[in-house]
Amino acid sequence: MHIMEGFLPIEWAIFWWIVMIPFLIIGCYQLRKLIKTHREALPLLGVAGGFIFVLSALKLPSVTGSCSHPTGTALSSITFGPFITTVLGFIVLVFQALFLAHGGITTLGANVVSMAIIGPLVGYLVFKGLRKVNFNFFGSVFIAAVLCDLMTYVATSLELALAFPATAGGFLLSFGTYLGVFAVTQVPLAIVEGLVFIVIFKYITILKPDLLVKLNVLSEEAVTKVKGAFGE
Amino acid sequence: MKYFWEILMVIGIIAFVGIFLFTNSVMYNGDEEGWSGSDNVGASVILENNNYLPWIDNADYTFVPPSGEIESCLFALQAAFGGLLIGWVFGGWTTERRMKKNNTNQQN
Repeated sequence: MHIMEGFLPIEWAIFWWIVMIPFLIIGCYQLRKLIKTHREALPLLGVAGGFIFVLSALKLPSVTGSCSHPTGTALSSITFGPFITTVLGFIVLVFQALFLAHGGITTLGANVVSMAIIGPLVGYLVFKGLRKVNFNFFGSVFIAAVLCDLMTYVATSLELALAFPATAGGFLLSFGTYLGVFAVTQVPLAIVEGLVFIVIFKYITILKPDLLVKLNVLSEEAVTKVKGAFGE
Repeated sequence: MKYFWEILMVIGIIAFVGIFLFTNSVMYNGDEEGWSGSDNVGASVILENNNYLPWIDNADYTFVPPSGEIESCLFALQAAFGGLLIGWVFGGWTTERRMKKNNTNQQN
């Protein structure tokens, strides 16, 4: 998912930085508010950031014979929303750009937009939508986590296709090529990531249901219902 | 079923590993080196199709892990710190809940 340093023409590098900055500013603002009003949610914020750190460090082999990594942004985008996720993802990607030579400062904008904005945003909206129509909690978590992961790679393909449209087939052909490289590999990874996040949410619901209620992830009745299903 | 989701997750992971082992055994016969990162595959697609030359490199302004071993060491550290944080918080929550349960049991 990382676009390597120097692999975006400078005008596109600047464009994606400009797209990223408002999200980052709103994210910092929301984070400040969160720290002031919901101090008890800080450990959960740590866990959410921890998952982005762990999962984005794991390069896993997948079907098409290449390796790719999950994003781990689902927990933070479902509980804290997409803007705070942007801040967390930004920190992880800066670390990887500076110390691991994965991605770089010029491509940071594009990488943050794909991993920490588009993915989490789609996941968050789909989660809220599904919960509104009273779709099963764990089902919604699964779908949101899969989309967080998959849309990240679709966004990367989109960024590369915009920067490098094929000379013969144009934008669409090259979008297809990059989808083949990034998104197809990602499908099995996204499904496994979705299953992992179901289990994580199960534990959080059992251990700290009051946090989920405070952050408007679950209502009190829903918590009782979900916990009841596990004999809690 | 109390552990339905855990079992489903484990089945998912086993299936994932199984697919990997199968694909790997099929690919093993080719001369092509497999299992490179999709980031690199994407970069080579750009190089092949567009006569593009990267205009800046990480080495121009920061540190690049000198070898694969050092790189994987740094990745392992990244994962370890994340894992520590997760384990610490979940451990705290588990203890908190156990103490609450003990308290209510004593009061009854």
